[in-house]
Amino acid sequence: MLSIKNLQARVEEKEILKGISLEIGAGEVHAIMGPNGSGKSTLASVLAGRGGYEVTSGSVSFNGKDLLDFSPEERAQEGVFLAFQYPVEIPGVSTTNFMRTAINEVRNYRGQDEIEPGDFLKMMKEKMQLVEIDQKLLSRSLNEGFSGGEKKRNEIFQMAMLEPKLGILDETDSGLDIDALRIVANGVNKLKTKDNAFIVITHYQRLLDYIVPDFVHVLYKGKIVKSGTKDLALELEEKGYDWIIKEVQAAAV
Amino acid sequence: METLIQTTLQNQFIAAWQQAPIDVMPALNAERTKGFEFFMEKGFPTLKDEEWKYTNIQSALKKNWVLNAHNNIEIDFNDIKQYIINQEEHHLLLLIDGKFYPEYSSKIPGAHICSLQEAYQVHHELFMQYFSKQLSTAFNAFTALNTALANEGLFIYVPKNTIINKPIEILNLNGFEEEDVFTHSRNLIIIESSAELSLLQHSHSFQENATFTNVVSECFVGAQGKLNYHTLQLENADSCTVNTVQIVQEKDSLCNTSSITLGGKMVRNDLNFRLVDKNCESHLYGLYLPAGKEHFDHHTFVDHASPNCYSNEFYKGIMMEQGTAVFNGKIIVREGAQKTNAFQSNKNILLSSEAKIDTKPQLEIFADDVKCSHGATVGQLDEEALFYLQSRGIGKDKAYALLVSAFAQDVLQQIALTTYKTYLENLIEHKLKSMFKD
Repeated sequence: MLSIKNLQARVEEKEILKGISLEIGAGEVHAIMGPNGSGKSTLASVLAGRGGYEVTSGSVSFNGKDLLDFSPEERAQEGVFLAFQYPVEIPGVSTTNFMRTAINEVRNYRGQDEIEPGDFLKMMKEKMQLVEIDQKLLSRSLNEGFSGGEKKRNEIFQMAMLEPKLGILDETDSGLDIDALRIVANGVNKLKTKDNAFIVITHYQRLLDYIVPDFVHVLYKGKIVKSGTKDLALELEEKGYDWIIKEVQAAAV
Repeated sequence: METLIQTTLQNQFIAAWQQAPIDVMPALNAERTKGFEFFMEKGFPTLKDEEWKYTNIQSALKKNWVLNAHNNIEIDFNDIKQYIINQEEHHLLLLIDGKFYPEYSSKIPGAHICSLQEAYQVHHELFMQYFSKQLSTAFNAFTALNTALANEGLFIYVPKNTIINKPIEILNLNGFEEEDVFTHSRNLIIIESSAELSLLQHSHSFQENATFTNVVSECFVGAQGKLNYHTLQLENADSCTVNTVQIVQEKDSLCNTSSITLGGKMVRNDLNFRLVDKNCESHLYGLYLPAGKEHFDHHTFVDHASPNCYSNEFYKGIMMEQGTAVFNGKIIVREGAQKTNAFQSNKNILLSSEAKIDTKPQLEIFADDVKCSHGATVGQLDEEALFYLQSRGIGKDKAYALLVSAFAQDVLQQIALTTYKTYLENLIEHKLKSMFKD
């Protein structure tokens, strides 16, 4: 589904991603871990098309199409979804109105008619339950005055509504208490099918207790330095990142 | 050339002044002479005039304007219907180039409504008590000229304890004449103690031709009275308006205003409040969206002349393309106006590198026990918010329009008239759509 080859990217003059290669197939969950500043969020941003990042080398193919060639909205319409680490507050736009617009834009791109109001409401209700989010919250301005947990639940709610092929969760666990974490993780698990895939970016192993990854990759200084199964995450939890860093340094010498 | 054209216009003013039948409203002659002499002495303002520093009125005057003679116009009501916001929910008053047409207007139980000249005859004492009483101490070229030359306009009188439940829609249609006319029009609105009135005044161009409208509205709100006054300017890209609204509030009165400017070559709105007795409450909301080469200027002045009054002002601007705007908000808290609460905020976004806003909040306080604040911001659309919307599949143009509408929302949500609010939302959406389409 997603094939990243030797991806290099920079912000202004600073090289952040220094050659990342990663293959993700349908039905898979990949966790990307790593210490702060290793390039995890940059990878998410580059995949979603955030401005300010310059891809200097490499390629990203998504279902056979060149992802880097698309605008952020086209990537979303193609089925890429980024759950933001810091969801943006937008006063004056309700989540409901926002979601209706987004869904219709995506449908329009796929050559479908606008969603029927009744179907939209039904869909809203169903997906709201998934992340235990309240109707009242959704009729308020998007994320405005939401708690950290409410914002993250809203991200997963939006993901549920848009039904992406590839969901990228950028530190969705940051700032969540254990209850909120469980709700968010449950939501993601219910969305998992054999046809979609997830990239779960996280600093801690905690989230991976709930969203069990098929593969774990460790990102360090802009490169994937180690890949493994979910056991790798447990090892990291136990020993920290230092041993991997040492391994990398030793290999370099 | 410039001088010649202006001389031509000035000559028309002089001729109109000389030919003015002195028996139209003779008791006003002294006041009108004062106005005319003021104008002849000072002339139109230039950019050197502090109050007109950012609005080039000389360039707006640079056209072959013909002074409007206010001939009677044959109207086909079918041509007008499309401009009416809602005739079921609102009473309707029709003004064509500033002149009141009662035959196309609603009869409104409880209120006395007529033309300026009729009011002078029928409500003479009341008329003389209020006409130009708050203006003449602070004439500017436009109010002075208006006082000297305006013979047409609307008079609304709501007697003591009368509550007009239904909002009154005042439809101003301009540009019915063959020529590009320069029009003076004058409105006088008197709300007596414990009376209530809601006005919704909107101005449109009827045809392609340009108009220059110099309108002055004086509003008096009696003790415990209530006035809601919403105005909308939506004229064509060749038309100019100088709109002066003077509101005087008596004890315990409440006044809500909104001023929305969506169309016109040059629109200048002067909104002046005088709070002459205790416990007045005033709300001023405004929204302006200049695009193309439009220029919208909002000058407000809140004069806290009495203690225990509250005023709150909130204006927002969205400048697109080469659109320019001015916000100048002045608050004076006079000596003795203790326990005043006066707040003001002006927020702007610029959507192009050629768009421009000059914003100037002014606060002068001569009392020591007051709460006042003011602030102005100018920014661009939040790039991160734009990306957030795009990352959900919303195209860049639509995302832009959505964010801009959202920016306007907190002014619009202050408008309690839901039909009018929806009408405005549609107009704004339409204007934004035409901006952002590829």
